[in-house]
Amino acid sequence: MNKLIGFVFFMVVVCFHMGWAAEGLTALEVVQKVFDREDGDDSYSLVEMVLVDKNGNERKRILDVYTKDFGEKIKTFLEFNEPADIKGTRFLSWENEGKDDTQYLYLPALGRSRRIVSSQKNVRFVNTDFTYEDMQRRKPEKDEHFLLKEDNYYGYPCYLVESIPEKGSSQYSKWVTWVDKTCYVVLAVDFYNKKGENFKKFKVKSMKRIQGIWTSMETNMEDFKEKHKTFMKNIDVKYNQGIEDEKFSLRAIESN
Amino acid sequence: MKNLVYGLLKVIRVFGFFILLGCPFYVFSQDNEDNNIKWVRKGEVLIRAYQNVKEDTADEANQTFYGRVRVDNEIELVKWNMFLNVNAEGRFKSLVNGNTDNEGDLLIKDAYLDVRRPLYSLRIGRQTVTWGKLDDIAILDKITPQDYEWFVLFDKQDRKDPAFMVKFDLVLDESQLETVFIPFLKPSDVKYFGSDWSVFGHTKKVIAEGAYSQTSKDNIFLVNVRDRDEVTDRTFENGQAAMRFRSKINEIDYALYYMFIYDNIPTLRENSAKGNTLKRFLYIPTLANLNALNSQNPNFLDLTLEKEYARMHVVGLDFETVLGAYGVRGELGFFTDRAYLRTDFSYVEKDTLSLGIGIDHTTEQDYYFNLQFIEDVIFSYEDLFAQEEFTHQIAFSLSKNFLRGNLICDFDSNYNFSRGDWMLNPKVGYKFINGVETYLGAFVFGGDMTTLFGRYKDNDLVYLETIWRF
Repeated sequence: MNKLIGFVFFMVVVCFHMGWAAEGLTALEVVQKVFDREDGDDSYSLVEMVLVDKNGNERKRILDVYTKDFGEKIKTFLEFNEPADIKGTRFLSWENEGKDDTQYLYLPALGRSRRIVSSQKNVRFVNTDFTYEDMQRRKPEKDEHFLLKEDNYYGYPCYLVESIPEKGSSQYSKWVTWVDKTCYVVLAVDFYNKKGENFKKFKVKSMKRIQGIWTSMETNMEDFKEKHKTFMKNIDVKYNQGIEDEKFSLRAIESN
Repeated sequence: MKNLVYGLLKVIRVFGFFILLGCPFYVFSQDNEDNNIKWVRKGEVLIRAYQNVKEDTADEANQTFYGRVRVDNEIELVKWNMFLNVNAEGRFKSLVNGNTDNEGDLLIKDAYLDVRRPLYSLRIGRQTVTWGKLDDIAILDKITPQDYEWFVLFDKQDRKDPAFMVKFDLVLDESQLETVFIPFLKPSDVKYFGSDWSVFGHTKKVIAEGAYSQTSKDNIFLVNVRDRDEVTDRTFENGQAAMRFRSKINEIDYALYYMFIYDNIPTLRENSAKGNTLKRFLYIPTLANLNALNSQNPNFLDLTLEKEYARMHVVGLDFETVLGAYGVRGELGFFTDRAYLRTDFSYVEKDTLSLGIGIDHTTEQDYYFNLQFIEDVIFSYEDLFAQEEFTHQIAFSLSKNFLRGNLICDFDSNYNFSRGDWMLNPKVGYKFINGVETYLGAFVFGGDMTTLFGRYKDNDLVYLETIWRF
């Protein structure tokens, strides 16, 4: 689930700036530990996603999410199983060194995969509160980070890290991350827009250790401006299942 | 009202068929979930009601109700890593005018066995192949025939009519070689007479029931369009083959094509010079052209036109990439011996180059636009009916979603610079929480009557569509 969070619904931030150090750790070291922490060679998650609008109307989606390490890079395959109107919609993402991810979207109505623009950071991913930027990991060198203080997040001791992206590289002006001090799982993130307003928050609501890997089981991304929420719940998580490379190919995304 | 009720009863009857068909499948699948058989089902019910904007002729359908129920079944035989796909469809239509007509069909769409292995896959049966990169434009997407009963009122992918073929895909590291063998020609479904969307509309009926001479009535009554048996016979001589190699260079996805196929959209070939006079009248149905036909005293053979499916070699290339915030894609195809009509309406074949390039972008305000430019070049050009040596065409789409994708506004258009014909298709829709989507849209056609879209300029319509996916 680390990887799931890392790739699908969350930014893993890495600091460059040597800010205030806690317990001998610099900001860079904290977020580097987040980036590097054990998350298996591959993972599978069956995810329930619930979109809640400002009137409380809920739309539920079920999706399969697969990830796999290819050296330093991660490839991701995602498929919607429910509801019927988006069933069969698939998403494939390949990380690239030093440039935006290569991303494909397969829409059953189109009958083929379609290359999509991953550099359009602020476009929402299938109408969730996650943008395509949130779906990509960020390299440490890309941003400047400050270790603000040690904090407590619902009883979990945390490092509080503020991250400021390189100009033009993000839709956000900054984000502030709560990182669990013991397992280096990201527990919450406040996102700030270009006006400096905190308009979006990501929260982990429960965690579980699966196959020795700390996994976020329930999360919530909330857009304060739009009063819209995206709840995610892991129904099933498996690590190191030996998922074949083929799963992350164009052939797989287009198979029907 | 009676027709509406009749139409609804047909929907219920067709839907009932699928429920009955699905029940044993469902029970079977429940029993076998643990026995290495997985059954995935999905389907949709679609109903469209068309309202003709203006009654131009008495034969036009003022209102049309179209419905379809589709059930897709994918059965995975886990133990053998095989998949069996069977998709069934029931359709009905009800045309309301002075001569109300109702029709219904039950048919199998895709039905194939798919063997998937890490390094190859083999698929045998009725199936749909989607090649090429452009949206709703078919330069290289020529393998699967299309159903033109409703002209372009449905998208290209929706129009596709699966054909029997064998498809073998070989995985070569990061590349893929796909080969297709189609043993028999299955043409696209093009109707020539008898509906608003047929090529020659209601011409035969108009002549038969109008104030025309008996000679005119007799001649037009005898007009018939037929397949050439030697082409549509199920012999391996009519087999078609195609291959596509696709790979990636840096950030550019590309594919190379070779096809030895029939153009599955027919062109009419005459049996005699008098047949050309007949074609002139059919394509340009004026009294002068009718009189010209009558003056030649045509016999039955003269009044018989044959559907010719041009045998073509096709080499092609497509690509897709991302440039900054823009998606860019294109197709290029060279076709030998593509069929056309000369200005005297005689049949002729010419080599042709077609290319298309498309660009799409989503703006900061979440507007999505897609612009495609298509150019056709005919080699060894001579004056042709309805075709220029260089034909330029654009297709433009704009869409904007509101309420997190639940309120959809869409606009599609097509304009042919060379011929001046055009098509507009605006629509607005809403996705309800229970899986039902409803759209209100329109089709507007314009141009000269000898052009593709202009031919249907009397058929402008608004429509209401409801889809329930399950």
